[in-house]
Amino acid sequence: MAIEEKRWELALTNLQERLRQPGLWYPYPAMISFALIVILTGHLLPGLNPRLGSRAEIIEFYGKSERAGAIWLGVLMAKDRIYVRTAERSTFSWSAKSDRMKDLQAFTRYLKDRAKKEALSSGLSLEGHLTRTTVVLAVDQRLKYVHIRPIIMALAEAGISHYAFETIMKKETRPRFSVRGGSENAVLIKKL
Amino acid sequence: MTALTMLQSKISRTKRRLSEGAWYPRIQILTILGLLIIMAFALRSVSMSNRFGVVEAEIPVLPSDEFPIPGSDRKVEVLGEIHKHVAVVILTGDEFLFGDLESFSTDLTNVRNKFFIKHKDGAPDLTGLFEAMDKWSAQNASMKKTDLAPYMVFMPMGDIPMPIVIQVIAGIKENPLFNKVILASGMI
Repeated sequence: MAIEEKRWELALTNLQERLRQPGLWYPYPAMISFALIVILTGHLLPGLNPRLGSRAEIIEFYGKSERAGAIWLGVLMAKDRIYVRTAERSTFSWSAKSDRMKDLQAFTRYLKDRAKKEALSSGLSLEGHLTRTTVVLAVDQRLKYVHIRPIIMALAEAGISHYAFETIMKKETRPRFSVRGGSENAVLIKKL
Repeated sequence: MTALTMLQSKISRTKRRLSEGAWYPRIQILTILGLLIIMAFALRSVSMSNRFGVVEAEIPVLPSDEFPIPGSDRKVEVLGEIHKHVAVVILTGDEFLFGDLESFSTDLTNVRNKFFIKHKDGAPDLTGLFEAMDKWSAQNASMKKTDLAPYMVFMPMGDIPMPIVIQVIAGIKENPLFNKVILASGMI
């Protein structure tokens, strides 16, 4: 009797094993991580610091504090192309050898639109002046002046007269120039 | 393909189909990749300095009657004008060249109205430049009866790296003689 019961149990176990189906939980961890990435890239990251998405390595140097409401642009070069990344995560690019303003048309249009928006918002808040829109350029250290010239021309074309170069300040960074005495700057400015 | 191989292949596929572990590697890779992206942003935001500064430069603005601001009859405040006595500093790979705007435009061929300061140990010698400009300014004031404008036109050559340009602009603005720097882009 006991042997007969055991045989039945074994047969049932075998049947259960044979009919066993994989659980339907498996797509969910993948879906959770996928959803996290979509949410982060689509919603959270644009609201975060725009410098997080920019690969421009800016100069470590003491500078004045930034004015609120400035238009931030990250500028860097990769594979002989100049890339300008905006705070809204849009990117404009043109050839590093290009000196035609036609190549910068989309960028100039963007600057004009942003300048209008900035002027409107500062006008509504009664804080600003129409001509005081400032562009802050976070310029990669590897760039040369020739690469920045078209951007300055685009700023002029967009009617923006105030611009500034962004610097990063560490705790130990202090004002560096002693213009009236010593040649401290000769050491601090990197050799040409 | 022999019957045995086919059978083994079928068994193997059935096992894989029924196995709960089949999804593990894919889920793990996807999760690790997702986590790496999130961690990269999180670590960068933590490690990044939160103190940023700016070194300002300007583009000269001309008042125009052609495009008046609608509904506005206020006069535009004129901060200064670029005339022939405005200081111009040119930065090349070897030296600073300076003089007034006239000396680099209508009087370009004259060799007596331009000055140069060689770089010291390969680096721009701002101290030397300002000492020379002080003397030049005093001489202009006594001989030509012209005062130096508080703004200057700075024109680096195209091959000068941007960190040098930014630091020189900051250095010029530290000088009490000048409070505005107009970065000349030249003709392109």
